[in-house]
Amino acid sequence: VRKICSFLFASLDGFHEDTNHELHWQDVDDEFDEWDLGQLDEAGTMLLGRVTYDGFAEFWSSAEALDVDPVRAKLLTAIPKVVVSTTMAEAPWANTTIAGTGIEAELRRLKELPGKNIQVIGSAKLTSWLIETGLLDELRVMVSPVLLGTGIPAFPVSRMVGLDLAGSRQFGNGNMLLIYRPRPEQDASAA
Amino acid sequence: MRTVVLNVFDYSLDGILAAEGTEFFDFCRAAPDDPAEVAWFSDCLARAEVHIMGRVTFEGMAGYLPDAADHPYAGIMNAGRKAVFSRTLPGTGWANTTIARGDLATDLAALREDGDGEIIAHGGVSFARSLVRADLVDEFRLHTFPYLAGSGESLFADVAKPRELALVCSTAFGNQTVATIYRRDREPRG
Repeated sequence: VRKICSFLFASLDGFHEDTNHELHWQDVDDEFDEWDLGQLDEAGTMLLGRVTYDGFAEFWSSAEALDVDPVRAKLLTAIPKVVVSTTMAEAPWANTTIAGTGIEAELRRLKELPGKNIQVIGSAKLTSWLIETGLLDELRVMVSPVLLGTGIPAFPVSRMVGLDLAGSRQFGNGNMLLIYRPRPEQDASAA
Repeated sequence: MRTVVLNVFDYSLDGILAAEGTEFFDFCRAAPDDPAEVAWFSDCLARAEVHIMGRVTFEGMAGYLPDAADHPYAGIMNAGRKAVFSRTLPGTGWANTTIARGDLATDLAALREDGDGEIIAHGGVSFARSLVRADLVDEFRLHTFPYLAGSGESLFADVAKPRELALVCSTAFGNQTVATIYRRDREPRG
């Protein structure tokens, strides 16, 4: 049985991007790299929302990425990827499968197979959908020490969701990693 | 010059404050007490020179703590210096309490200049949001519950432009809340 894990950055007030889709406040350094490469090492499949996939495909298949971050560029290109989209006809990046309307059944099938984690990165809408369908096993949030005030919500859930704390780690650059496991829906409310 | 510390107990991962009557509020109250968190907050309270709060929080505390000898915070809160920010509260009936009826920023500035140490702000929702809106907080102590509220009263909704903070420390408690302390270097005020 495989786990579906999602990793994303959030500001302290719960935004994923500011209103200009700027991400410069997401501070990464050597300590982050070591941790992040560890989670990528545990992943057998990458699951991405369409917007995140497009951004990743453009950057990580570029000569610039191979130059500045060859380890991650090679790893992300080689790993099997599933992009969730009902409109994408052809994927622009190697080792990609496009999953459309049948995604939920496909993920339930994939989870039953042996293997490494199915890893979601930076896909806020997809992550919230996975939480609400009960498919997500682990939510890893890197909380940046910044207040944005407004922007794209990191957790656009349509109902309240109870979680269980599975771990936390303070990074030297002020980032705070929080790891949660969503509770089954019937336990989500204290009422 | 005193620093203003805002302590927020009921904060969600998505930045929502648990207002009374919401499912999030019930979720927070259902979480077990952790002796380590009680000790953590007792230290905070003992360090504070002044306790400030809005009317709603004041009425909750003043109606309960004076006769709650066994409550872990009763001794400190009953003896401590308190200021309640309200234009409508007729009187306090709680020892060592004054009412600040004027402009929040002006009255708080006077309290800050009145000595050293910490002023700790206790909430509630509307008072905390007023402090954030006017950028009057030097240090945030947030207790993040394992919860996504989806919607509700956002503590930081009135932040008009991005504010950088510095993470000071963090503590994960046995009841699954994580307390984080963030400092803010505010712009000098004219």
